[in-house]
Amino acid sequence: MEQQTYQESQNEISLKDILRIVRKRKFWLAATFIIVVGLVAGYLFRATPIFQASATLWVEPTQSSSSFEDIFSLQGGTSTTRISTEVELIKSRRNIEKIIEDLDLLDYYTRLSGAKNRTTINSLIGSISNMIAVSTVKDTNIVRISVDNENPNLARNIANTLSVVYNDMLKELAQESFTVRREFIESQIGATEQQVLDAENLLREFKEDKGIYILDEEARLLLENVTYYEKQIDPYNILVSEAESKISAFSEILAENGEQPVLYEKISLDPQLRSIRAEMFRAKLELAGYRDTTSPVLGRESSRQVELSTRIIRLENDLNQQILEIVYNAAKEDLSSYIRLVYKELADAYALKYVAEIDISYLTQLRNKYEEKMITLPALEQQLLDHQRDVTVKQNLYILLLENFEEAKIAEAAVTGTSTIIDQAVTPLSPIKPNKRMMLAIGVLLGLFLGILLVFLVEAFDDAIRDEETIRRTLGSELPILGRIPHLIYDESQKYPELIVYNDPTAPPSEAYKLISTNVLYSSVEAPKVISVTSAEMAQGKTSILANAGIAMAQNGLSTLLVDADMRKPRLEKAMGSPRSQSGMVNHLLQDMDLDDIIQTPLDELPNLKLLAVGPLPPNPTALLTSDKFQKMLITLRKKYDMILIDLPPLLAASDALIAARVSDGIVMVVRSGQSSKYGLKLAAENISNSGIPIVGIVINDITREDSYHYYHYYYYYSDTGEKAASKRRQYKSQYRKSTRRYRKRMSALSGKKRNVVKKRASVLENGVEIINLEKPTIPKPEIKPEPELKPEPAVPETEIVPDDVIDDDVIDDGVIDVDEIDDDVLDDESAPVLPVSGKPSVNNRNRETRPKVKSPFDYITELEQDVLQEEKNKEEEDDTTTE
Amino acid sequence: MGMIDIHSHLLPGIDDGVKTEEEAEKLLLLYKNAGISRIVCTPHLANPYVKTHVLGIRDAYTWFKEAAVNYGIEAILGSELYIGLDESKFIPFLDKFLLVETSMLVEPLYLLDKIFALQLKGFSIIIAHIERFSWISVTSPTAKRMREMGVYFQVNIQGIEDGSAEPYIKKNWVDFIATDNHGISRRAPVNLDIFHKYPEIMVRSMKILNL
Repeated sequence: MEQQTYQESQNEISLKDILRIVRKRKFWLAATFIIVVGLVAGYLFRATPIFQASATLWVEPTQSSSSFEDIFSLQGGTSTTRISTEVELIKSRRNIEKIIEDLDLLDYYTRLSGAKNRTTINSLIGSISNMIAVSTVKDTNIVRISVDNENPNLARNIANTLSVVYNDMLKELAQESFTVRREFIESQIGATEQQVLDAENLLREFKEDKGIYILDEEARLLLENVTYYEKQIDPYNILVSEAESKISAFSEILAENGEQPVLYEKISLDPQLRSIRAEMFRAKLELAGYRDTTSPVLGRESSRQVELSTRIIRLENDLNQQILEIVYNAAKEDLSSYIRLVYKELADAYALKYVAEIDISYLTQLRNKYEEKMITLPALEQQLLDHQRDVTVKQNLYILLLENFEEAKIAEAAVTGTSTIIDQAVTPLSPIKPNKRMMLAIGVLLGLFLGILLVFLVEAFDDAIRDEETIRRTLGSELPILGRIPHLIYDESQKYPELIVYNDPTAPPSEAYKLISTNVLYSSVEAPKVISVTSAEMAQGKTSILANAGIAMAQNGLSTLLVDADMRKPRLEKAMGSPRSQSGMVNHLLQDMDLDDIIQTPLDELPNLKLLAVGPLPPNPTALLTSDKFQKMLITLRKKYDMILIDLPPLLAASDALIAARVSDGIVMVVRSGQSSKYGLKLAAENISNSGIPIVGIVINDITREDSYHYYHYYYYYSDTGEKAASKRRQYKSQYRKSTRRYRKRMSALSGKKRNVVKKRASVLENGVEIINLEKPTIPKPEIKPEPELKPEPAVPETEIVPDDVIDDDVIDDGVIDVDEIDDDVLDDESAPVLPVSGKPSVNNRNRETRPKVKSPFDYITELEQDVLQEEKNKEEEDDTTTE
Repeated sequence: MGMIDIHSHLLPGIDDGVKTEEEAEKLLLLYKNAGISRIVCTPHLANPYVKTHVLGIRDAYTWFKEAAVNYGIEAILGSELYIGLDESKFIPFLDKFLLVETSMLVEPLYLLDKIFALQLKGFSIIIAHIERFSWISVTSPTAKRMREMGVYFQVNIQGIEDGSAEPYIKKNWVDFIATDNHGISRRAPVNLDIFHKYPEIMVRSMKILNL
């Protein structure tokens, strides 16, 4: 019945099961949790706090918006540096080097790390670069510079210095081109001034000398045209020179950084560029022609002009692109953002020069047309024209230079970095990491998770058998569970601590043992007579289960014999509270000692419980247990007793266990909860099934609350009998009674009102109905009546010799009774000596010495003396024969 | 509680023990003073290294028993059984107890089988001065198996004094303490006071001997 309820609840893993597993291994959980949280706490305690300082910058992406380019009407679109470039620029090596220098960081870190590890500039750059995080605020031109450091002040300083250094760098870069230009113009002004003066002097001298002062109309017209073009050409010449000085300046910077930029000569030879150049040349020439022919009346450009202008712009873009490509292609693969920027400036300068040269060349061509015409003029006029043209041109140039110089100065002064510092970094007050709360929370969660994981892992890898489900799964078959013995602590103050059923027949654990005996008896239609009790491994508790179940059977009136066949480590006598006897089964098997002489009655109050001990331990037990004699002995015993329980050695420890078990009707396997291994049980069960001996069922021993909550109430009853037996037992006495009453009630519903156990058994067998014993286990005095006068006699006096044959005869005379005749008649007859063997004095004498008593010490001396004398006699005879 | 010395060579002129009756009397006085009430006389028998005057045992024991009565001591006759050559020569004391000695250096062949054979005959086996056998120790399987077989161990007082018996005492494997007294003429006198230092072992001995 219990089995059934258990099965039902085992169909699926319930929340209860999970809780039980966790509760069973709560120490694993707790240990893991404490270790993980402890580790996290330890880390938090020891970790150096990191502070973060942030500065924000507003960055204008550098665009070609400098006034310089406007003045010279150059087409822009040189650079459209995106914000990401700026971000890259901030972390450039140049800036970090500057920071290290400004803040004297090399010194600081060398002091920090001690003299041993010399901090190199390279490693420092790496570590500082790692500290700096540059991020853009989404969809804006605002850049945030964050610096993480253990020292909050240093973090702030680095952030602030970096923003300044970055700004300076941008400024420097922008200023570079303006400065070059200003210096160039400055150098040109003086020279041009002198040229203007020279030209004016020459003109004046010529006029005074030749007396010609005014040009005629045609000449003036020509002069106007020529000077017009000269005027046009001059700024381009300046541009070319400017571009050249820029080129040399940037090339120098690059050379300083170990770069080798492509030369202008190479660019001018590029075939693709040349084709662009030719096209552009034609377009510009045509456009210039339009300018000459267009009537100002129209007031607007014709469509052809518009087309040409757009084409020129497009061509210029292509050209810029092409040059940039050539420059970059010639450069190395991975460039720092700064060098890249310089390369771009260089490419711009190249483009500037290239375009300027195109302009010069087409303008020169136009001018030359007018110059050719000048040859047709008279010589003097021609000369005057030359002089005048020279002066005009030089003056124009001078004025132009002066204008440009002023502008250049303004532009240079106006240049600032393209970034603005919005927020300075301030000294952070609290560290940004470690985030203690977050880390602790993670630690707690991780600890719990790992703990539970470990609990289930341990559960999965646990080889021990703890519940019936495990047994079923291990064996893969439905073996009946004959009984479940709770975890017991023996009360060592008792005379028979292990014999629970004998000590307190009504206690719940005793009921558990009695249930085993009933379950065994009704395991088959015909009650088994010989049952072997064994286990897979050692120390599973088979002996105490056998002893208690045997007592339960004897209390029910069955004449029961307990046979100790564990010849390696016999324990049955100890469990029964008897001393190890000198003689036992071994003496019978080897010396034919009469069984009645060696079978003991261990408990005086239970005369129908018999014990066959091992006796001396043979060096080779296998030979004995597998001998025919052993089989014959059991066949003999089977006739004498209602029930024989054999204590076999553990199956996996002794090869002979199974052979010995052949004589039994079935095997009862004992499994100790929490200790027996699944593997061992499986192996043992396989061996048994191979041998063909039926397994009656399994007894689970030592069930604790953790193992099975279905039975843990038993645990309460007996767990502390050892320590506080008396008081505790009183305390629970009412509970005992209640539960026992419940138990009996339940059982009586099944079994009816049969009182006479033996009779009941018979009727049950007849009807084939399984009925569980509800009888209160009492010592069945009515059935068995030991004869008081035949109780054990005091020890036989030493000198008295009891010949073996006499004992044997006695036993045979009234001892051996045909088993068939005993049965019901005998059992019903209250006065009849049901178990005759119990009455004989020779049987009950546990310490009976059988053989040694035959002789006294003097007998031994006599024998020894006789031996000596015999030897001497032999010797003499020998001597005689030799002398003869 | 009386005490017993289960291993002694006090019978005068029998083996390599006490030589004369005078020496025996002196020893009996020492035993009386030490409060020992029983002495088991265990001469060597069939020991290949000791010559035993077997024919003199009866008379010597008769004399010794009477002499001991004067000192309030009960003399019990037994012998040592030498396993290895001829296991048929022995005198058990108290009907069934056999004091077994053997070679000091090598484990005799079939030792356990021979012990088992004697046990089958109903004798209880006591291994004499187990600490003196160099082939056995508390850790050897033979010793463990002998304990399982119910073989008793005896240690000498000398073994307690020189510490060689200590492992057996620690393991609670000592059932008997005895003198192995060879008299005062050949060997140094035995310190009989040691008996008093191990009352639990004394109780155990008496329980085993059922005295």
